[in-house]
Amino acid sequence: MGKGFIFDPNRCTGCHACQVACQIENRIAPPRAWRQVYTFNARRFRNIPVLHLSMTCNHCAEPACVEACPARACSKDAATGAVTIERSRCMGCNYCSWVCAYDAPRFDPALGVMEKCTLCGHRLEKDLLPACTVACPTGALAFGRVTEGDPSATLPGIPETDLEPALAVEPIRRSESGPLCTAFGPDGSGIDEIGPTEEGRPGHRLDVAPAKISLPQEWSLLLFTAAAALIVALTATAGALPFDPLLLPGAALAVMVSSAFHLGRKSRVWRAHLNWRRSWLSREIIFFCLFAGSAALFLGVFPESTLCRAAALLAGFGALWMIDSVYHPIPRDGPMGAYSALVLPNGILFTALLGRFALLLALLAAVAACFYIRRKVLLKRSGRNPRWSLSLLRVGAGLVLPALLLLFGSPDLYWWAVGGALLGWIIDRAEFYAEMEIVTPASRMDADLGRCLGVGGPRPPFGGSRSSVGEIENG
Amino acid sequence: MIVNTACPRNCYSTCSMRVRVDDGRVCAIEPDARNRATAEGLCLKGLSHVERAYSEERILHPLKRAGDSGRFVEISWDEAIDTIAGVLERLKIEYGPRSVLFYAGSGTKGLLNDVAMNFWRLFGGCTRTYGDLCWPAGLEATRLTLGDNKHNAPWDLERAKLIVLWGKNPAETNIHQMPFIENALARGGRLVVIDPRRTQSAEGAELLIQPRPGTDGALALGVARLLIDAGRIDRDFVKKHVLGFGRFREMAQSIGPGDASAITGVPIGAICQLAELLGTIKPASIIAGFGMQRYTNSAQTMRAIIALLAVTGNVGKPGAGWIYANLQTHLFDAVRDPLAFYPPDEPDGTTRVSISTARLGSDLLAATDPPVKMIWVERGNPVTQNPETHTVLRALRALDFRVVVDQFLTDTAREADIVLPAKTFFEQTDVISAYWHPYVQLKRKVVDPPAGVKPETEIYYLLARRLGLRTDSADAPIPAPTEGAIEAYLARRLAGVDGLSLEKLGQGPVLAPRFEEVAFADRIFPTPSGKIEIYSAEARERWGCDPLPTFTEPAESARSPDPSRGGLYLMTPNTKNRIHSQFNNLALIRQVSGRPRLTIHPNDARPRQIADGTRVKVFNSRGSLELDARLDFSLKAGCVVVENGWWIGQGGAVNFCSAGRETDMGHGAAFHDNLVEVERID
Repeated sequence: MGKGFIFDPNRCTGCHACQVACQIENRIAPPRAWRQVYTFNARRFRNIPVLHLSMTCNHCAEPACVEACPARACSKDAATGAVTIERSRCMGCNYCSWVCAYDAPRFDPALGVMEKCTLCGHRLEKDLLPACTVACPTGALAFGRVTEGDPSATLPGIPETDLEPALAVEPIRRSESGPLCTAFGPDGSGIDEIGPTEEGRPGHRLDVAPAKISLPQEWSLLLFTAAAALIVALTATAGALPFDPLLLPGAALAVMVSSAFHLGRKSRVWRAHLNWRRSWLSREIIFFCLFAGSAALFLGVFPESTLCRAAALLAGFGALWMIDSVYHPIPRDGPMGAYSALVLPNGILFTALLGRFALLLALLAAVAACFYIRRKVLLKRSGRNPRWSLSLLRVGAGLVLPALLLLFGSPDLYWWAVGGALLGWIIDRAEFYAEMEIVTPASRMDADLGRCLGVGGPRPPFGGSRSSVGEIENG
Repeated sequence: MIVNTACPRNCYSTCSMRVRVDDGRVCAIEPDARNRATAEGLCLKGLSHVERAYSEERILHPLKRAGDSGRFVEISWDEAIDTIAGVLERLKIEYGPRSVLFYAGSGTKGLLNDVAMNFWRLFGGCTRTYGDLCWPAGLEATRLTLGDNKHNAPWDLERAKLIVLWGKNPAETNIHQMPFIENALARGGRLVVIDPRRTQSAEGAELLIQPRPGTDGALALGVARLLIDAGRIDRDFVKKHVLGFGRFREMAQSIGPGDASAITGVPIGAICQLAELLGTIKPASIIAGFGMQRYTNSAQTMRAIIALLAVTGNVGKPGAGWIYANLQTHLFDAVRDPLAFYPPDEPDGTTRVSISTARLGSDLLAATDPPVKMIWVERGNPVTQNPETHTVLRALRALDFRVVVDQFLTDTAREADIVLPAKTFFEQTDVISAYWHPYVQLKRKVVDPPAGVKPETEIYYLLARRLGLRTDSADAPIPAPTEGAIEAYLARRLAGVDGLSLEKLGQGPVLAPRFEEVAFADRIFPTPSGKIEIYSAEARERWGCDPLPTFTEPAESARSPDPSRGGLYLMTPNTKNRIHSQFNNLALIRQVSGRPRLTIHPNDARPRQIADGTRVKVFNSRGSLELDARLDFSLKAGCVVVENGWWIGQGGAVNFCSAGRETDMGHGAAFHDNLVEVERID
């Protein structure tokens, strides 16, 4: 393996000199920061050590960002191993930050592009070490040849990935339970009587890491993905349209344009297709463009052509599949982790509804409802609010009602079925973005601390199990 | 271009630095490995000087208060000097020169700081403060007991087999000590931390002992009794080098482990474990912090702790000793601290030394014959950093005229009639000593000051000229504002010290002449008896204290609650993000330091209906502050914590609650004797 950062958690005191040195060297104005210092157990629960993790880009051997970046702005330097973002190529779509479990790429609001650690390439050229490693006053952070090994095994907060990060972490030498704290309360009572679980339950989520994405930020993606499934389904069932069929390719173009609204550099949207060899995002965009074009040809010029129809449907459903695939490389935690965006299945569901294939719809709706309810139960178990009333709407109005109406209802009520399905679908999309837990070092620390406190899984190796009064007895 | 210099902040580390300058502008700072104590790196504060020098908030011209609006207007240097000189001349005639208080804090170090007093002596004198906010009780305890304030070299700590961090949190206040501790642990050493807080420094410890604030003396005596009872003392060492062991042994019998546990709130088991470690592991180093000696009983506390090292023979050996203050580089003063902090009233025949630093506000208000009419403040921010902020503010506002020299509009500068811009440390060459490592360093000038900024030496030069004083006076010279004159001044100061010269310092950090890697290795203790004095007659003669390090409750104790106070100890420690009230106005620091908060244990929060993030009022009879609560699950219950150094406008100026009292010895400020109550704000 090549060179990378070597981190010693025994020596790190969380002093932030590395972060500040990086900001000065690379002229990044706070609060922007390429290197972050994360603290595990910042509330100092007893019997759990306080540990820090200073992390930036790990310049992976298999960088997720290079693969994901649609604009080919991310690249890995063969000589230095540095993974960098070329600012003049970046369109500011944030996708690299979504796929990076280390949370390295950051959005620079001033330039509208992504930015991250450059490994101080300008210093390496002059045989100087990265600024953060030079500044570290405790010898906790160094730069050098890193050995093979999974850094996530040693320290809370480091996500497990198969990206082969150029990061080495020294094993923890100190007590896995932190120092033995000895104190009585002011009235002489033993505060040691309070075990970690009791004090932990209310406290362990005092410092919850902020979610990386939120629904209000991602409304344009919600619109795009929700509309895409609908437009493809409408195209597939083009015979039944009560409006000019050419509105469909028009709408496809419109939602494509709207999805560009979240870009930092909208003028570079044309670059989105460049990484079609590796990026699902590029492929999604290419396929959706193909769909819009072939749908226009099919609906506007050759409505009778089976070939045109087949091309449009292939491109359309292909695009829906690509949309789902875009979300697969994103490292996700929680019940949503294994949950696809399900744009393609819902596209098929809408096709069944609009094509009035009642039995197919009933079958698809039943399967969708099962998956949906299972996810909600898992969400509830993980301690999050499952929003049952929304769930009722999603399943009742969005799945059960359309299936029943199509099976047994009068044709007069057909549009109620469509309306209900639409409402359910939008709820589904909104929940998808709102409930997605993208893995970050901070979120991983939250989860690890929860486990140390007896919440959400077996205790990780770095949380001790000493009884609270321990070896120290009074008397 | 790289310029080698050194950081002059009031900090243990006093780092050697390599400053990168491009086009006459400081771009970045890197460590200088030639200083063995700080070779590894720099702290975030040191790095952030890059922002500090060019901050938009920096004062770049003299300012004059614009009426009562609280605003300031820029004035010319001529107007500033004329105005100040006019007031000085008038006051000198009306009340005499001692109606002016010259107040200097610890904001920056250097030999050139002495030019200020040279000016005031030429002026005919002034009033000065005695004592110090920081560390005198510990210095005096050490001086009385060991004879001198010096300790082993920082890197010697790696040889310790037992390290006790007693009230010190180097992870935040002396980060360069942490690698030496970690290296000692990696070599099989063991670490105990004694602190009511579970600090970052405690994370590597096997045992964290959390005593009630102000009771460390009782803890030490309890441990001493256990050591003596178990016969785990170094009899040979005690016989040869310790004075008063018999009387100490007798006195320690009065505090059994049960008594010590009841007083300190520490389980007996933990006290026994500490005694076991101290009695069986050698060499042992005890590293004492400054916070612990800011109580009314604290010099005796420190003496009791030193006694533990004395009776176990842990003095004058590699890896062993009392690590408090290392003044081996303090070579330039006629009297070494702490003696320099004490009156005589007229050390030079002109100056009146009559205001206690600890009681700055009330002593200023009470001064007579003559009363104090004007204050000159430099290198300091007494409004937020001295005890009893309300009284300090009242005293400042009662004066006729206030001059403050600073880089920023601090809470003290905001009280001024004239604010004069201060240089940054990049902007004038000086020589600095240290109090942890043994290097004397050249703080080399890196860049010119901005056009409107003049170094303090030049301010005094201009003022002296304007007042018609002789700046080339033989006994009190004020160097002319040229680099040549500054260097000549420094060269004269260095001339008296063996082996030191500007040329030599220019080549890198220089170990103090007669530097002792292991302090007291020669077993020469410059006390009256020539021994380690656990029994110190001078403690009684000078301070009226018991010659033995007895324990008494501090003035504010939760065990004798005064209903007008509160029941919680307000701890006001330093943070890694600031040096006292410096640095927090910088964006690089603010991103890390956030907002002031009251740290509280859930057991104290719950009965007060305080949850995490609840807005709370911290108060006692002296004052109050309002801030957000933050739960900490390992803090000793009964203690609450607000880091010191926040400005009033930032909401957490802790000294609104502290009391202006002196420590039992040394004229220190006992402002950590500070009981408060906390309630939620609805």
